[in-house]
Amino acid sequence: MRRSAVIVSRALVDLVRRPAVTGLTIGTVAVVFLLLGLFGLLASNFSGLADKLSSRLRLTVFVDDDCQRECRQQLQQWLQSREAVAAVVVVERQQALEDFRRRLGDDAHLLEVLGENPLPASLQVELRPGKRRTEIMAALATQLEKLAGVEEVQYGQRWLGRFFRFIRVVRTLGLVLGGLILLAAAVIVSNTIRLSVYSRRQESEIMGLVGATPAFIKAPFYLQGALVGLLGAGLGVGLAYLAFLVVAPWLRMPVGLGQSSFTPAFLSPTTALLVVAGGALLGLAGTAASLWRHLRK
Amino acid sequence: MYHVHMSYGPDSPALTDITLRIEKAEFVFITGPSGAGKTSLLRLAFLAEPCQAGQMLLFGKNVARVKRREIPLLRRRIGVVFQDFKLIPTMTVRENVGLVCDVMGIGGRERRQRINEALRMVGLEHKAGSFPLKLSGGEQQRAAIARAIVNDPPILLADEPTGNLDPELSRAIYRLLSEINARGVTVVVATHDIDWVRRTRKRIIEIDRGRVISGGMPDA
Repeated sequence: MRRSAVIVSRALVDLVRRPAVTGLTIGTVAVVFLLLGLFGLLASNFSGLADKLSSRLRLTVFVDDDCQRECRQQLQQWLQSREAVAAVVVVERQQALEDFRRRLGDDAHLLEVLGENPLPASLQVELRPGKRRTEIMAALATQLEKLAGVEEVQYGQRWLGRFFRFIRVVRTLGLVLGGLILLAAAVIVSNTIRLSVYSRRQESEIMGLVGATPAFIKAPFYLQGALVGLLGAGLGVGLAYLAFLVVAPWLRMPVGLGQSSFTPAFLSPTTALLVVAGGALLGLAGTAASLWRHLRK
Repeated sequence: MYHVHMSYGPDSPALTDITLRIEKAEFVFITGPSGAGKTSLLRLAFLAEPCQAGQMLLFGKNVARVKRREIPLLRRRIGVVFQDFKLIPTMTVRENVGLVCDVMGIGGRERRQRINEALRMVGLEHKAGSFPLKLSGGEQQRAAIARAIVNDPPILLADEPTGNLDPELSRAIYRLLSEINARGVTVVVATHDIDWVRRTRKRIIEIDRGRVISGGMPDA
């Protein structure tokens, strides 16, 4: 108990004795975790939005004019036999025109100009809930396009593809930049601890001479690093949360037709705690780097 | 020590074929000119340097090839006093002396009692709250001795303990070391003050150029 109290006391005294350096280091780590947090929120919420959007998507199979009732029934049966498909609804040409007229609303009179109905019949395919819906849709579309009677298959592939590519870019950028700024934060913590190690070098030497183990000598420095990392990460996550509270109401958006909407989400409490713990690990890593260079003996 | 060799590098032999024995509760001076190897001998005894050959028995155990993790535990049984005192300037005398208790995990009343006893023995009770830079040279060395004896080590090593002190203070320090020896502590003092040492009638081990010249073995 006494040894633990000595270790904690030495760690805290050093941090308190140099408030400017300690504050600056905690502040720097906080900024790093704020940036990481915001980036992470961006990536995770974009992913969530993409999932929400893709869950609203329907596969639309437009059929040839030559594909009459029997042909459509065969297509319908083929689709219903796929495990991923939940429901298939046939939309006749006349029904398609009526649906379009309803969507145009007050501008429906524009359809008078067309003369005959230009809209093809189609099959509206709804997938079962689950992951990788976009990939499943793409695979189904590829198979469908080879079948007789199918003119075109649409599921918003162009913009969806672009959106997912965008998310991948954001994630990759986040990982690379995040890795770099984490490294920078570890270096800053390492330098702060190095100041501590340097200021206590005589004391550390004497402690070694009177029988202190290397672990007892190094423990306060590790504790300092962990505390600085923990406090910095906690502050960063807290600031990220405040920023989220301010910005989130502006980011609520409708998804597709109807009442469905996307509400941005912050980190779960477990994730937030893990991030803060990550800050402590960062502090420990920075300390280890500093001690390895300056207290090897 | 039996036929101990120590060097700081392939071309820097410090101690050559050292054979000596110091009995429990003895008071021994190690003398020799500067560069003779006195400090090296004490550093070896203190396990601050490894020996390249030979045997070194400490507390009945051969520590010539001791494992690194055992060194701190052995050092807790050896008090060391240095020429430059090695007091931590940002700690009071009480805190400096208590550092050993912190290392050994001694707290509470026992810690207070040990510190008070050590300070009383060296005559520094009234300076317990002072910082080292406020003390005279003699007082600083006494504080260093208090730190060295606070945990009742069976062995006390002193490397030129009076090197920075005037003759009068030097005598006071040696008297203090004698008092400590009288309590059963084995005291080994390295010094180049040969003239005064000879007058003390204590056992003298003379070394020169890394070799024991005389006094390596106690008289039968």
